[in-house]
Amino acid sequence: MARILLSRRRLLPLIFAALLSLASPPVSFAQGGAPDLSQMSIEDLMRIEITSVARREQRAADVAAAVFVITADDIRRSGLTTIPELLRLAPGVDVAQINSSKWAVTVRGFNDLSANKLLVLVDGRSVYNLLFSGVLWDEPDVMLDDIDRIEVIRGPGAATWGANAVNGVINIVTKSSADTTGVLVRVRGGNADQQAAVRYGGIAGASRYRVHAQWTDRAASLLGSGTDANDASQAITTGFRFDRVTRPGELMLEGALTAGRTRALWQNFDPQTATLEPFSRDPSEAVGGHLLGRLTHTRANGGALQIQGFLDLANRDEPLADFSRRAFDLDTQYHATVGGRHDLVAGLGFRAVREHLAGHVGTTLDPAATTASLLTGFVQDEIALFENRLAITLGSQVQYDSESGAGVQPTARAIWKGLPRQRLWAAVSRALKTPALVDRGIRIDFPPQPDPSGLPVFVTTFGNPQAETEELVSVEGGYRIEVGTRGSIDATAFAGHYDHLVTQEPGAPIVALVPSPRVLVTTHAGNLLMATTRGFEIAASWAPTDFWRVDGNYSAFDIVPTRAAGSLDVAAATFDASAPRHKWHLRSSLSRGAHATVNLSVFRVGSLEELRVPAWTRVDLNAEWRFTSRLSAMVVGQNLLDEAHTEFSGARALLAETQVRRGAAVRLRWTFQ
Amino acid sequence: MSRLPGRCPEWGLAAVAAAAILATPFAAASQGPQRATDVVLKAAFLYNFAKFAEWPELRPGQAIAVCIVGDDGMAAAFDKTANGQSIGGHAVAMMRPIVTSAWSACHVLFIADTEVRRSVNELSMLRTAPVLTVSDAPGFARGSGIVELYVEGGRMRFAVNIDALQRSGLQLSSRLLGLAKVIRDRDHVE
Repeated sequence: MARILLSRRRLLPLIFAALLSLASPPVSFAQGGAPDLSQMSIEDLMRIEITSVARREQRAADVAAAVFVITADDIRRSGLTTIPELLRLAPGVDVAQINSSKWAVTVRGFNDLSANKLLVLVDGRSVYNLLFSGVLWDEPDVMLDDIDRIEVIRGPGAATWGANAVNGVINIVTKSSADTTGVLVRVRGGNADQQAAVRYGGIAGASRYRVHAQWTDRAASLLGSGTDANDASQAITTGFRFDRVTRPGELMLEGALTAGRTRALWQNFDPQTATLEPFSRDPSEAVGGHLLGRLTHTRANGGALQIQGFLDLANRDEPLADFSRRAFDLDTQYHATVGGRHDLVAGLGFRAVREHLAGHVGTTLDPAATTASLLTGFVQDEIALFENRLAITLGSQVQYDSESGAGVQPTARAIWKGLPRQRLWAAVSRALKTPALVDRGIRIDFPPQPDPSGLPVFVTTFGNPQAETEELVSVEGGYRIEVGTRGSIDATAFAGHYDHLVTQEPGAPIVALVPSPRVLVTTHAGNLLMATTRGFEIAASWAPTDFWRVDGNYSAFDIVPTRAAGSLDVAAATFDASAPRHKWHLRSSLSRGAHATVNLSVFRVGSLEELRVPAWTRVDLNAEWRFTSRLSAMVVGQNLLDEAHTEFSGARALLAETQVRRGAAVRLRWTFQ
Repeated sequence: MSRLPGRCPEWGLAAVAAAAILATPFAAASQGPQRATDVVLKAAFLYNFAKFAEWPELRPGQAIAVCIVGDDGMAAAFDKTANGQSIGGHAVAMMRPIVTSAWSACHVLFIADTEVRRSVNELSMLRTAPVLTVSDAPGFARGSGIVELYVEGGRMRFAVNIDALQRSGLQLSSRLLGLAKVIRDRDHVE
């Protein structure tokens, strides 16, 4: 596990210095009472099975950034089945389910079906889509048992991860094959989802490997009327990972193939009849695959060279458009300590992405295909001062993008470690969001809307071939403290200033008489919005006893938009970033030995004013029994409070509004060597 | 013909059965394989290393100084494990050195993997000192240290660099070495 941390990507020096010292109920025996391990022989110690890894307890403390880690143990206890759902556990992350297979996920505002200011990586592979800027959350179909941890970094990570890591970075790290030997079979059945997964991990000489397959079926969500939204989805994924540890390097290869079918209730516009077809029931078909290789070479002086490359292919046929992606990425980095005081990381990267979009009803992209190439370089130095009590990190990313030109994304960070069990940190950063290809060349003909004049109004939206890069300058600071040996608090405050945000600038309406009387309104994308955001995030953890643990968090967010002179986008004046002003989460985990755990989660999310989504509360409850060390069963209840509730509105994406329903499921998990 | 659940014998039976099923795992908590978190295990291993090591210059009555650097969770776990314990008449004293110059006063020195990289120079100065250096940093025993803790198949394992051990002038019991993955300089832990 530590091996993965060391080979991890860039924020590394920061991250693997730490991951949440805070959340530490420092020591807990899974064994209920307190068997005295000091009285056990070392032979016995070597037979003990490790229940959880202390990354969470220890490592995030020393990072001069707002970091939260979702551990493998959290994942297992949550009873959740998808990555976006798991992100609900982290403070400051806005997660809203749009329909059965679509989520809006962001950090610190600007949420949408494709929230464009959050970068997401799976084992160092970006799953952020450059075509329309954002993540399709049904794409990374990772087997959750394989995940070692999910690192959630709030705030700009652009100096280390590059463009589009504006509001945050989600880093999904899978386990080394050395930690997944043997057979695992997991089946889950319920009214909201069904899943079956099989994994086999083996050993061949100095190599470890695993192969897995997973099948998922998600039931339809509900319409407001309580009827079935007919948006059920299915996906099947098969993948492998290979790890070879030889002197003096490590090789990792990893790949997967996914095929999925999703459905959604699109609000479909037919230009021929000029009518709004209420819903399209056409399924979306997606196939995709990737192959990633990483070579790490560690020198005796501690310096480490890492080379990573990946290929990523995807095809999606959606009712609105068919699109495809071919991406190639090569990345090198070197990490070394210089003079004992400087911890240096430097890297170079190249990426080429070919994106193609063929629009259907009402949607066209010009040009239909683009090959974008991206060249990046970054350097970062963490300087230890005053006997390691103060660490200052200076770094910057410099990039050249064939579509949007050059950009510089620097950061300066400091953390004070002078007081025991307390940390104080601050950071100033600049981050850029490059225009998506659709921001430049899209044309969407929206369904006609009735108007008081009696004539139907037809709105057509155009992209902007001269679209500008959006910019954020952010200031943040945080304080962490361990309270006694069983509690911890991690608080962060931030303020950000955004410039050149995308607006829709309307042109003058035109009355047309042919083919029928109508009002035509066109809008062109502009970059005429500024905004100031500020907010506060606090996470606390308390383990009053060895068998009971409580985690909680609260986030507040506020945005003040300011239109630049000349902007006619009226809606931009009331832009609220589609993020709630307040939200909190509380979870309790009660265990009795290694044999039973009961987990209760409460999520409270404030209203989304602009989208007119009322505040909602969600309660999940689950219990797991371990019949033997190999077989366990979990009973899961989700959304227990209400029959169904709305979390987001898909209106801007031409999606019908659906509701997340109450769910119950049973999960069986069986492992053997 | 009231068929209220409470009066129906089947319901009572079902309730008893359900209660029994629910209670079973709780009652059976002390059985099954032993499980523990990795910090707790590492702390217990560290304590055992202290138990099976011999220092050339340990005076009678002198405490064994176990130093923990860069891992608060580990320190808390070790404190709990070794609290009030003594090894062969030597009290076990946990220390958390703030400055690296104090490291040579330790008998056992645990350094978190996060601290190893920036401490390569300091560690190399301890090469011939009677300090049993331990870490969970990958490659530690191959590089600058003596004992490396690592996880394999969900169990804690350890590797000992026998060359580094000899340079330090320390002795580890053969029982301990028998359980270790023994490596030599430039060898690698797999």
